[in-house]
Amino acid sequence: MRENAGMTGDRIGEVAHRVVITGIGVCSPLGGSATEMFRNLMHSETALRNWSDLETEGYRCSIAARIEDVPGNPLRRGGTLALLAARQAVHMSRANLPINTGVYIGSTLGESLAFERAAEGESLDVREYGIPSITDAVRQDFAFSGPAQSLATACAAGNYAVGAAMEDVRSGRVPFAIAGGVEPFSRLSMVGFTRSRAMASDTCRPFDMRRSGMMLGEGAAMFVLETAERAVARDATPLAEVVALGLSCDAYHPTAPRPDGSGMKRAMQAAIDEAGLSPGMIDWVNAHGSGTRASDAAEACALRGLFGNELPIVSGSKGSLGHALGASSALELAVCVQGLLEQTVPPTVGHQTPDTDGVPCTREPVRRPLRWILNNAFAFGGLNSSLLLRRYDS
Amino acid sequence: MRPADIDVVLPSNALERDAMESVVDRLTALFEGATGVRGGLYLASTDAGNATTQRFWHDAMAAGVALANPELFPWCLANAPCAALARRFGIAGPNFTWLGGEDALQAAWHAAESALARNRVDNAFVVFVEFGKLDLPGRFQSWRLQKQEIRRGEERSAAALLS
Repeated sequence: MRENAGMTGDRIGEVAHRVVITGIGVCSPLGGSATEMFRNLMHSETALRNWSDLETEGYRCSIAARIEDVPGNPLRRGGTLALLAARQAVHMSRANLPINTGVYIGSTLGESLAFERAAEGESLDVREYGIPSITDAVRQDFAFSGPAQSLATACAAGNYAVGAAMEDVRSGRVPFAIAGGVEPFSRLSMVGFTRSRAMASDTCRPFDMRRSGMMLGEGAAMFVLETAERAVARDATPLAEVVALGLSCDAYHPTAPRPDGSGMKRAMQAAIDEAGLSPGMIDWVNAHGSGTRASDAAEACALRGLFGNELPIVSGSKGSLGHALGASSALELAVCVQGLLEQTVPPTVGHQTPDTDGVPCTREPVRRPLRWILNNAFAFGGLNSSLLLRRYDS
Repeated sequence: MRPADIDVVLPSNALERDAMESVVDRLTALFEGATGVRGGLYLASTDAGNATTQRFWHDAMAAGVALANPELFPWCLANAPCAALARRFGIAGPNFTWLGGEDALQAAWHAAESALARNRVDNAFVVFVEFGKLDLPGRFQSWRLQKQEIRRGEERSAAALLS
């Protein structure tokens, strides 16, 4: 157990409602539930594999993590994934959600296939296929009329969505929230990232000295949020507490992170400060760890800058799940919550040897007491986010 | 409800990058003295990324997926306009983008006011952008919020802001 540096970390609990997660829903290439995905992560499984259709179509990179047999209209693949995850989360929460429940969905491109088809000449109104269409699908499925937010903050969108939901639940604006991230597999993203030289040559190796880039994924993860008081009163099981979302912007480059990691560090610091913690109290950082040379190097600088030589446990999931863009931080939040419940950090698939001044990550499951976790997610445009979680203690 | 501090017409039938470039010079006074880590950007848009996404894919299909020009790809992302504002004016605090209509603008105002009230930022900029399409011009509106303007519990009407 790391030192707690003399701080209680209870500032949030003193001044505001505690917000907890009581339901998780996951659709991922590594499993159709949080427990299945986590179990496969624990066994160092990876969903990354070669796809013959992409190879045939001439993509330079034909390796990805995709979900097979997604039902429904391919043009609404994102909406389908979001709905499946939301229904699963609501079922787990055992909540009878009221009509004024808020819905907060993050994504990068929304229904990418519809945009592609429209550009190829198909008669489609793309305004009906953006991220709000996914948010609306979830609201309509549950007949909600509460607040709706469609967060378009790229690869950090899941963290943003859960953070926005946390704020509204904490303030009492909504009694419950469904929040998370979704990204259907996108050929457009395959082209964009490949041609931007961000894609790996073979596989994703977070923070490894041999890393060569990212691999694309897809999926959705949704969460039911409510106050701890409400959850306890209705005899629900709080799975984890959502405490703070730290945000910053590099304001530096359209795609590259600030190399010294200072913006990433500020996001983590903001989350820690908001909770009244010190860095030494963090037990585990689920890193963004995209596997690109620049992003992992900057995140390593940020982690070293914030924690010095007292690094908490660091892990990453993109070697298993691929990079699911707007869904990635939500899928990885599910990993964090499951890790808290099982008091175990999963291995970092693809990570063997860190850079000389880099960050060593887990290479096998690490079982130890876990209380505070940061879930990092960074995005094009220099957006940095770090979501702080706490093990739920009554 | 006070009118926008900046309210300008964007060119029709322009990609997001070009539309933003057409307006940024007029924003210097708005952002003056409000840069750095204590400034936050809260952008709502009906359609950010739509035009570039279609152009990028159209061009990729013409060139072939293995040879597509990646230059436009970052502007396929709806958060590219807000990130561009951050770079141009050095605003390194929270950077939000919502897609939608009134609900998106309402969320942007709410988040900006909350950030000021919670002392996360000293200056918050709410931006609403609707990019032009075909023969229709677009619109760029921005409001600068400061701490003394925030009254806790105040609910603003996004419909009135958009009117």
